[in-house]
Amino acid sequence: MRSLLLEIQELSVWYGEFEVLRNISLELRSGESIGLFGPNGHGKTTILKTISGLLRPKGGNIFFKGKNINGLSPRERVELGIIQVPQGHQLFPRMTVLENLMLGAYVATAWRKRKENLEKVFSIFPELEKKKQQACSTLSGGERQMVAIGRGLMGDAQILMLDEPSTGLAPKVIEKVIEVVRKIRDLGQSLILVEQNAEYVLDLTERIYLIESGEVVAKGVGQDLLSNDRIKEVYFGRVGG
Amino acid sequence: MNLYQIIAIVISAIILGSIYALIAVGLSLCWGTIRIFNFAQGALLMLSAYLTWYFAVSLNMLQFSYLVVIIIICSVMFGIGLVLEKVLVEPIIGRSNIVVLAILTTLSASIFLQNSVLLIFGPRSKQLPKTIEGVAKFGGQVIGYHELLIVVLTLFILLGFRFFLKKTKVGMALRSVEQNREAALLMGINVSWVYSLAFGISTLMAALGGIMIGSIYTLTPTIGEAPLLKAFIIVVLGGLGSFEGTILACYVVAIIEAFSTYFVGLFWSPIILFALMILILILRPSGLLGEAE
Repeated sequence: MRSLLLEIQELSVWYGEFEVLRNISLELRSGESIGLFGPNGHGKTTILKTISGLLRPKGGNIFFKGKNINGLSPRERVELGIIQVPQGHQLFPRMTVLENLMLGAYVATAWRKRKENLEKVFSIFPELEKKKQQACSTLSGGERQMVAIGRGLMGDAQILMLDEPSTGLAPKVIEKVIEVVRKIRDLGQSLILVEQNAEYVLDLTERIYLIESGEVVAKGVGQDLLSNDRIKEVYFGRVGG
Repeated sequence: MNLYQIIAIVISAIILGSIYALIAVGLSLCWGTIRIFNFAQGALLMLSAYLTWYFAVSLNMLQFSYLVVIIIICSVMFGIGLVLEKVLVEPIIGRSNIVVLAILTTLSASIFLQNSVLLIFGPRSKQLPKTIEGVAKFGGQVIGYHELLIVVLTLFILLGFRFFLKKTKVGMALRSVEQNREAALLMGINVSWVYSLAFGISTLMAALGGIMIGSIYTLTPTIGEAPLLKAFIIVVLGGLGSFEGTILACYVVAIIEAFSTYFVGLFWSPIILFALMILILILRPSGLLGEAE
């Protein structure tokens, strides 16, 4: 069995007086890809932000390779290779593609490997190499998402967390993004994918956690879970609505 | 009015614009990265001028070289900037009303510094010695070597700073915090360290401005107020956070100030400048070269 990379135990997070995550437990093994699936505004992004250290949990623990990382700053977590690609890409708009990618390798551990990682990124995204001197504000939505994912890979990611990479993109462009995520997964990258679209999350991940109202309401292997009434409700509710 | 007069006014404007540029770049950097307006910048400029006077004249360190004094002042002021950021800015980071709070904390620091200097150095006005004595003459114009040095030095400082921002890893970190703070955090950039650094660099720029201004004008505890006001207009005019826009606005403001002082009178020039600022903000709300957000 593959070794345990990330283990989250009974995590609870509060925004002021509101409990937004309740008793979240999940695990990710080395080389595995898991999906966090569920409706909008139910805490999926909050889970990623807590793993990144942008939010502090009120209760529960996060272990990385068996070590409790609750007390670590976002910077220290990036140094461990816990990398989040935020929703809506969040690039540095007035910098070039290359500058954005280089900032992905900002921490010392990743900085040492920046050349080989840049080659890897350009091999996955050949179109970015052609546009490397272009300011990110001039790129299309799909290209921006590519830069965001590439920037995440520059961090020498142990765990790559993708927050809804398909949001706001045209269907054709989504296909391309999904293709790239599949490629990265097949390279053995451990992945946490947050998605609202059941089709993509089933396609790209081995196991799925269904998140609703800040709780894990179901988990399991994708196809099994799809026969679950609850996931049907979420999935078809969304499609039908 | 003849050509000679026009050239003379333009020269004085370029000298003035150089000093404004140093203060304005610091203000712009603080606004861009920390999103605060540093009202202590004028007082820091004044403090640097007084400290220079203390080292250069009181301790008679000019016997070594002016450069030694400048290096000491710059290091000391950079350190003061780092400490002030911890005291004035760090406690209010993350508060929703940080812009107003920062005006209060930096303005308080400014008043504190002005009165401390008044208490320590007394009300008698002082003047810094010029870095180089003598004048250059060309085309019927007379310009001091010292003033010439200010213009050239400022040019090099600004170019060097631009290089630092664009080409170094630390400079990229500064720009990244300016463009997207949360994404910078996700890159592993220590944002609170970037804030300290921005404030430190801003103070360093004020320090250089202080050394320059203190050898042209007479030192008083309020010597930093007028340049701060101009720098405020400049930063807004040039577009908040736009480096090139800020530099352009420095010389535009200095030239308008020089001409309006000559033609309309000294006390009218701030009114003309503010009117211009309002006019440009109506026409281009993001400033001369600022990008709309």
